[in-house]
Amino acid sequence: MTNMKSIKTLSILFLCLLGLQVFGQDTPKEEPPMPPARKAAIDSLALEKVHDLSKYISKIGDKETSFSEASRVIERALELFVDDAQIGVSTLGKSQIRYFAIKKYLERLNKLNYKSVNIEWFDIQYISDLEKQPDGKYVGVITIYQKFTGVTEDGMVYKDITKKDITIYVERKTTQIGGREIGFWDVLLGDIKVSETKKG
Amino acid sequence: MVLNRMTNSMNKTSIFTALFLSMIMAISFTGCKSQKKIAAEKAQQELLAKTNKAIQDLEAMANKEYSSLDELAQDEARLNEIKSYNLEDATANDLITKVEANLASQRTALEEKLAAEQKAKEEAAKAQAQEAQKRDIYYLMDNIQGSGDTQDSNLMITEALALFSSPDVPVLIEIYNDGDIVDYDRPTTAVKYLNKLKDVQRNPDKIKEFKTDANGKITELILTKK
Repeated sequence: MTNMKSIKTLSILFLCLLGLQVFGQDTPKEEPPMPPARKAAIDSLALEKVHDLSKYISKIGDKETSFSEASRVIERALELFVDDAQIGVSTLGKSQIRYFAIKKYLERLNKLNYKSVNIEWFDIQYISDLEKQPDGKYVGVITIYQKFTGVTEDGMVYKDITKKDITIYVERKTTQIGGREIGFWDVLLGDIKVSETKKG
Repeated sequence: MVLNRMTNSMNKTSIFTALFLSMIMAISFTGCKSQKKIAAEKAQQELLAKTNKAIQDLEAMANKEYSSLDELAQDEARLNEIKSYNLEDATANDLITKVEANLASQRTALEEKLAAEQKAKEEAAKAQAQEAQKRDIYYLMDNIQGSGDTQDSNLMITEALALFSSPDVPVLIEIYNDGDIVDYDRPTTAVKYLNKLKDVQRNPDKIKEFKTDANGKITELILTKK
């Protein structure tokens, strides 16, 4: 009888300990908040990538850019995006927004049927701050205004201003360079959605 | 009688001659003996003088601090000379041991000091060369972004790439550094970075440091935000 009692007591104790351990594992560890200066550096890096894309798009669209140069810039621009990213394209007077894979969009941009093309991005800013997701990545949204000016062979000018929202993914990664570990923030752009189109 | 007289006279002469010869021999012997004594005394004096001079020199060397290897080598030669005397003088021999130790430690210290000076000189020359190279790269980077002409920019990119060991040399851009944590942008390469400057027409980075190979070509470039 005494032995049975001891076994029962020990079993309860064991289960309690097991429960405590499981509870301990489930409790999420409090991560210290990121220093504001570090967060600002990452925010700024993401904005810089969007600025870079604006320059790439402008160069790809520019009729003065040679085919080989445009092809090289397209490759560089693609490096800024996640694999399956898409971009929305709108036209004045049409409510439909067509979505293209980034590569296809950039190639079309290079071959637009205009004599000259000028694309400018302005008012580039966050509309949704980078927030940490459960998977550890940071996600935010940057909005931009794109001013498009196209002049046809017969002198017709098409102008529009489009407001676009770009999803930003930021992830901390490491790599080996020169035998040492380097920690870097991989900023990738996701889908670019059209939120508004108006006359330029 | 006559014979006796003659015999007596001869004996006297012989004795006199013998005495005379003995006197000469005695004088000669005494003279020879004093010559040797003088020579010995002279040698003794010379040895004493040599010992005293050796002790004097050893005392000067025992705690001496040297500023050049030439000066040290001169004293090492003097020490070897003194050792070759094989002096049987306790003071001199004690000093020899002391001087040997001092010269050995001074040589080590001096060689280390000279090696450190040489290294510092080489590092200063290297830093100067790096600074000049840094200016060259920065000048090219600034001109690539500011050119506005694709052909000109491409020429400058070719010129800039000649400073790198290969177009694929890693380029790291530091975006944050608080002493403990260092964050970089996604690593890129020299050729991609220089082309980016041309494409985006701005240079938001400055050179922090770079590594070079034996030929002075850049093998890694680290930039930081302006």
